[in-house]
Amino acid sequence: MANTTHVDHAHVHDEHKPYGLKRWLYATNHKDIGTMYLVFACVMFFIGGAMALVIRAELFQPGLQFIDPQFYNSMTTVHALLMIFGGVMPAWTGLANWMIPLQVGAPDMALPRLNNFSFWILPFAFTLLLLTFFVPGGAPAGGWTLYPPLSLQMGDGFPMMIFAIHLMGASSILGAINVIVTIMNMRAPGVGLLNMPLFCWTWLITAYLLIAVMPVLAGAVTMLLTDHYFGTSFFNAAGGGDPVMFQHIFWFFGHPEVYILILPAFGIVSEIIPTFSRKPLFGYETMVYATASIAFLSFIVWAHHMFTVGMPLAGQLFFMLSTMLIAVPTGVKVFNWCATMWKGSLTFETPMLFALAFLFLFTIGGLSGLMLAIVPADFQYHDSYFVVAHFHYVLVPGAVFAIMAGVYYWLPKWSGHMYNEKVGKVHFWLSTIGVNVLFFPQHFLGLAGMPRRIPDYSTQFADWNMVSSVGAFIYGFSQLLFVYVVWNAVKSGAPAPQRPWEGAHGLEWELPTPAPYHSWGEPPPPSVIARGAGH
Amino acid sequence: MTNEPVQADEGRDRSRRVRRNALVLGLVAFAFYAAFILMAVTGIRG
Repeated sequence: MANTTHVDHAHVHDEHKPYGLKRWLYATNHKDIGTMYLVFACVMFFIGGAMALVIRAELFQPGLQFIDPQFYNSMTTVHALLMIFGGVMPAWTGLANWMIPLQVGAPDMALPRLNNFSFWILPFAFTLLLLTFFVPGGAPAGGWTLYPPLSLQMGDGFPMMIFAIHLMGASSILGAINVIVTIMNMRAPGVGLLNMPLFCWTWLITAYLLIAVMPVLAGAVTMLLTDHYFGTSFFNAAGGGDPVMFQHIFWFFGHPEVYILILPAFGIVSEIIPTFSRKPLFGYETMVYATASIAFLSFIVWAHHMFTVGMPLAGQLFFMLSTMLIAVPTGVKVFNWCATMWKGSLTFETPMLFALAFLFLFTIGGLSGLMLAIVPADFQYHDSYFVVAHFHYVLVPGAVFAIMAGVYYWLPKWSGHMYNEKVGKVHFWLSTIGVNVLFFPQHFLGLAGMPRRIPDYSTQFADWNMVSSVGAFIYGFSQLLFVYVVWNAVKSGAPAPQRPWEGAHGLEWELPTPAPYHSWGEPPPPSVIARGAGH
Repeated sequence: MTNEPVQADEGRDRSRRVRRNALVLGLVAFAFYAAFILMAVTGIRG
């Protein structure tokens, strides 16, 4: 750590900050809204995580232990919806809100009131979704993919779920518009597009993906609604509709959604690895082009999620090969991160540990994705626990670890205080051991033939399920440490210097610590921009 | 002081650009929503 500048808390008194409930309810400051998004995401992670623990407790042994199969199916469905739309996506939006204006030298997001609206939609959306547990017919239980005809058999909670998904989609689209407009119009003079930190680039591309695909999900669920209540037959075979068409539409949204969840993670890792390697990022421009290539390819691979519906051979080949093609730009990224570390002066503070774990474990998830892309193999793996292991490796030690890396990395700048490095490292090791004990055995279960979305299973799967459940509880409870570390840092951490990480570059580190409530009221001068550009 | 009108013009210009960009992006999003429903109505299969 380099103690370049001591904290100056005097400016805090000149910030004209609103106080009390109004500060949060009427918030237009990007930092306040970013904080609200992050706290909201954390709450959703814990609710969704509790559901995951219910699932793993039920699967600890064969036989039905605690819950009935319908409730089990609700747990898997709502766990997924909460983690994707309530956890990971708002966490990225929170980080974008906090960091993009600081990194591009803008005083705030371009549309602050829209920003407030985007956030405040979310608590209503998720309250509505969670209330479905208390209405006749219960919560959604047909899987997060909402495939008809199963999803159309839901009870009174069906319209609540559809409305909740519309609200989540609207929030994401408005947030994405704000990010694009901010980056395209609010950059300080001298901050060029190919001069921005990678986090801004990956978020810019993510925002375009969001605008293209969230409306597609909205269209799909609108059609489900009209099929259910207004007598249309979009997906009803008895009325001349086609349930497979829903799968095509859903996955046209669903696959880019995977990259919406992971591209900002690439951005964060591209910030952290150079900092703790004390070297500029290797191949900055290729990173940008690789991100754009991944985003483009994400639109032409959707049917690899549905090889088993029976599609023409040409279709199978096209979607198999296009999926494999994604490994090329992803490989470029992994190579560049390794090359950045090569001969670097590495240190292993908590953000770097999480970034390295991301690098190893996300790559495992990527490789099992390549296995799933092979059509004849996919016929065996489809709907098995192998798929569950694959996407959890991508999303937990992938997206979630990157979010944690980002929080540890920028927390000193946000709060003005350092976190406890020792407890941070304990949190890292418990998380990493827990996540691998939890998800790695699921590869074996899937290869042995255990289907996903079942509350009971054959005794042949008992041992690895027990191991997986033990990992789940280690991982789940170790996240309480994360809350402790953050809380402890904010309340009583040691004062953080302006640039707490020796190798950190970027405009955010040119601001005092904690970042003032109103930052970059005047655009940063060229000398500051030149000092901040470290790639 | 002499720069103030210029800065105000730049500010207004940027506000206009921000609003225009946001509107265009909103319309693009709506077009995706409508196009996929229309595609399903007209029976084009994926």
